[in-house]
Amino acid sequence: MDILRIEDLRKTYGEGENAVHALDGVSFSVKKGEFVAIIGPSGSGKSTLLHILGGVDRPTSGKVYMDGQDIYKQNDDQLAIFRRRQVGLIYQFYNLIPVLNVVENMTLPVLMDGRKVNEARLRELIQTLGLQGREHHLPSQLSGGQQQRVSIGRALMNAPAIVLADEPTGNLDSKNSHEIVELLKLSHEKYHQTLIIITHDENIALRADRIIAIEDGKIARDEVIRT
Amino acid sequence: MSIMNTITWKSMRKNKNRTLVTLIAIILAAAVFTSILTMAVSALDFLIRSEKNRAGGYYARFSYLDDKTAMTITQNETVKNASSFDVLGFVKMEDEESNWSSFLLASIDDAFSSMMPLSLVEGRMPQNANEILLPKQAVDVFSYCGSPCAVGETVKLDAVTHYAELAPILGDAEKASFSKSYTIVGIYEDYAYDEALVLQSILTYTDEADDVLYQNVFVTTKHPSDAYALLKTYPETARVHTRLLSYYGATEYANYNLVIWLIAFALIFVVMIAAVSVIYHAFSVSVSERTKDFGLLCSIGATKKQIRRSVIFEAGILSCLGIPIGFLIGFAMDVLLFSALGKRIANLIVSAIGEESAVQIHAVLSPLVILFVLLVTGMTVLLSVWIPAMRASRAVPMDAIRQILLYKPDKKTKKRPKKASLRFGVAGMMAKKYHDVSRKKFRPIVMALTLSIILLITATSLGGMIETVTMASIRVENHDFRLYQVSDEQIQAIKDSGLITRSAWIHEDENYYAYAPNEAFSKEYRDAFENIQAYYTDRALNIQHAEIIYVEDAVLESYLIEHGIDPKPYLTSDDPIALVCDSRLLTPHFQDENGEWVHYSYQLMPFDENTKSVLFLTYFVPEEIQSQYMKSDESWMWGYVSENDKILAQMIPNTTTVVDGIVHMGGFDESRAIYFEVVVDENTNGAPRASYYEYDKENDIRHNTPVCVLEGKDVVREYPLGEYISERPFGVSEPVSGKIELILPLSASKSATYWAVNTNQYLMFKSFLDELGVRYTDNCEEEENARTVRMLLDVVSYGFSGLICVLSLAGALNTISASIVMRRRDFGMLRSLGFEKRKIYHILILENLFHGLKAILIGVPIGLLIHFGIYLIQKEAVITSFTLPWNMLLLSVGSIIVITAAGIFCALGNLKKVNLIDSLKNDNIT
Repeated sequence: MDILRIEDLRKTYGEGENAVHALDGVSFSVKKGEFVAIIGPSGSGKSTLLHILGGVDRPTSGKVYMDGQDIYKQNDDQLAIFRRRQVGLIYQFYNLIPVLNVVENMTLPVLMDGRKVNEARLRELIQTLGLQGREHHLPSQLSGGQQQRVSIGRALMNAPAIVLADEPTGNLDSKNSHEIVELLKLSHEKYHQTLIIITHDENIALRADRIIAIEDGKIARDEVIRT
Repeated sequence: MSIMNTITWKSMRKNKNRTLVTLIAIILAAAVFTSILTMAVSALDFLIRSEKNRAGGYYARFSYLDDKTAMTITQNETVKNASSFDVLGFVKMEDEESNWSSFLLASIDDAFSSMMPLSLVEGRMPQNANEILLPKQAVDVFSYCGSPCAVGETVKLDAVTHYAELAPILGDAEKASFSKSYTIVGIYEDYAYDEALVLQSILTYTDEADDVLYQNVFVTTKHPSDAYALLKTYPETARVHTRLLSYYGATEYANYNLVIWLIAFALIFVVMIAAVSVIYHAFSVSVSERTKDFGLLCSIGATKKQIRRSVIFEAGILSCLGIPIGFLIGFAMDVLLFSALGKRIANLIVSAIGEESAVQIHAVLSPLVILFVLLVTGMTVLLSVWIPAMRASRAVPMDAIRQILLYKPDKKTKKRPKKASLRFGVAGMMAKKYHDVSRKKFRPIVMALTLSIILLITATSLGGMIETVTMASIRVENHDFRLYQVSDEQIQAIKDSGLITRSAWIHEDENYYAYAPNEAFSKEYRDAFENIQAYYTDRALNIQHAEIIYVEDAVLESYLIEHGIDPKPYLTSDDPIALVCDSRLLTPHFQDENGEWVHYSYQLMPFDENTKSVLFLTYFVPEEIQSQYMKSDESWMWGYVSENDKILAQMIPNTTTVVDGIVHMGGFDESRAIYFEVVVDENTNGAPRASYYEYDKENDIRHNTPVCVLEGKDVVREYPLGEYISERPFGVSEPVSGKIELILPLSASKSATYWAVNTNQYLMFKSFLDELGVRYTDNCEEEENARTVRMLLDVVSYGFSGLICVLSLAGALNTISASIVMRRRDFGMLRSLGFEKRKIYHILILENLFHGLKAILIGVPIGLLIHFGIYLIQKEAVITSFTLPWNMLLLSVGSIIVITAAGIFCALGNLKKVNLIDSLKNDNIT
């Protein structure tokens, strides 16, 4: 069953002679629970694709269906609620709120939604992510790897339909990179979540179920590694 | 607290400096609003209390009523409180020499004393119809007439029930009389000066058994304006308490209430603009600093509404904290101000209104002020925060995710040549690029600096205007005391006391009518007045009023020597030359032959230096008065003129053409009337004539038919003119606008008006004079008053303006500093490229030089335009020439340089704490 389907997605920056076609007619679909790695050289359009999939950036044309619903038919507020409930975003630079501690950062999407925090899930995530004892630390008191774990926790806290990770290990050393990938894989298996990851690292890509390679805004290769 | 508000709260705590700046701005705004509004409310409260104390707290009064009408009025549904004053008769007290005084005998109810300005000096209020309360004025009269007048004594009063003044009301009723014995239970005094009021009467307690001639009813209504409706119901005998109602804002004209609130709101408006500018910039900086936070929050699902609310929450928190603190500070400031300078402020207010007051001003805590401060400060904060909040809600998640400060080039930038920027090397090029590429980003800085310049010039100009206008009406004398009518013994005692250091006898001879030959004036002045018939004739140009001041010869001589003038021709007692005081001659608006209003103004008496020689002074002497009563050695006299069986009394200077007022005194059998100013013209035979016209005080109308005409003669004297002087000799007052003053030696006069003295022991000398029983004017006290008024004005105008300037400059400083700190990634990048710190400083200095220049180019012309507008307003009150405010301009340009430099150094101080290279790593958004 497809959770995500995109049709003829195009994104152009600038106008006229200066126009840059970041995405040029991209179409594919992702099954529920699938682990997809998107690879490609710098400037190929993979980050743009991820942001459009996450409802962060609007496409110039084309459709993005999440659970059969065209997400860009929604207004800004509806799109914000969609991001909050359906998407978990993980960034290369973690993007944590510096004034909030670990627990507050992790529970941010739930609290923003005005809902009660699921304490059991929070405890479980903290346990899984190895953040015990760090619950009340501010981001500035954590290492890069720990900050990325918090970022993963924030993405998973709301049990979103899809988790999007943009170079989650790009800012980490190899030991931390390895741990983060293990965690992502673990959470994917444990919570049966759809995971789309953008990476330069072929080793990480090879751990995915499917690899989509993008070049010059187009899909150059789409291969299923394992089913 | 929602998570969004938690983030805001934590962010506020993290950025303590910015939060503090915003909080201080809100506190100051609330404090100034509170202070202004409390002053307005306190001034109104003071005026209302003054008026109640002066003339009573009633809104309308009804006179000469019968029982039935009085009852109908008091039971009217709009009436809140009513008090009656029932006239029982008239008591005439006569001494052995047949000098008499008359008093009303009236009964009052319990409400009367609370509604009228009546205060007990001794004893108590009457409680039955056999007790009376005597006015303080009656005690002496009763004593002279040998009647009992002490509290506790019993007095038998003989009263009549007919009075000529009341003939139209009482009709032809027969004159009756009655006698009754009363116990004096108290003595009262009142501050009322309105002769129409019925105080200064002998008061007893209302008793239904008494025969009442007529009733007076005083009422207050549920709403002050209801008094007018009530007035229309009983127009014949009713009068409203106009002045009191005007303080309540219930009158249609002379609405002091409205004037005070308009002034207050005008001031609040100026403060609001300054406050909005500062708070806006503080929030703008806050939003800019948090743009990444907002973008990130958007990316994880925050709605625009949530973002907007989080900014407004910040404003709300700061308002909740700042407004109460500001209110307390503002109110405390007023309490301190009124307790320290209350008396002076009260004098200033009453002198503006033209009344005297026996009550004091104090800060009034009004719920209305609390509500207004909440509303106005709330509005100020909301106005300030609205644009930043909207900007925050437009935060783009992509900006946060990309983590790079991207500049979007303006369209204008593309065509800009690069040469100019290269003159300052790479630093100049970078500064120019930063400035050009994103003008929008730097607009708040330019705006803040421009506004600071405009506010600085406007505030200083306004402060200067307030001080100039107020101080123009305050005269500071060059001597400490003026002593009047001192006897030879007293003079000797004063001289022997050793308390005086300097003295001069002065005689002021005022109100002459002056003119000079046309050729004596400069051409410019003649041209200006050629078309004004009132001033210009073929032969001479009229100057209107003139005054001769005679100064003690020895004092004048030393003055002349001190100023390098040969004293000889000025001290010849037979035909001395007159010193001409360099007084301000004010010629206000006139209509020219086309009916257009023309405004001429001259500061100096514009005589032609080459032809100036003589000035003619004329005065009118009514023959009738001259023949009967004039005594040449008296400066003031009473003249009595009989005409048509009426007695006229007037007080006139012996050499004058203008009489301020003439009062028909009336007698026991006659009513009073007031007549107005004399008009001097010529009769059919060309002889001078003075006509007196009836003056209707109520409607401020002078009647056309004269009630009295006196014929007399003009006396013309020719005065040769000498040197012009601007500094007055000792003992002579400062000049009055619109009047020419000549100074002559006292030996040329036959009398003296006062003795001007200086003392080295102010308090001791004052009490010495009191002991001697000398009548005097204390200039030291007046000077002290003037000094306090000046200080007060300085505090209010410059302090207030300074506060606004500090606010706006603080805003500018904060904006510059924050803008630099926010660009630390750029600077980190430049450092990583090998830029030395020195070059980064150069970039900042050059960049801010552009901003400062831009602000000066926009702000200075606007500020000068406002300054000119203020000058035009000021010119209506005081004639001064327009001058470019170089000091203000230098000050504002200097402030901009200082603030820009301070902004740069503050920012650099902050940047020093951060490793710029580290900021490139950008581990977290901040």
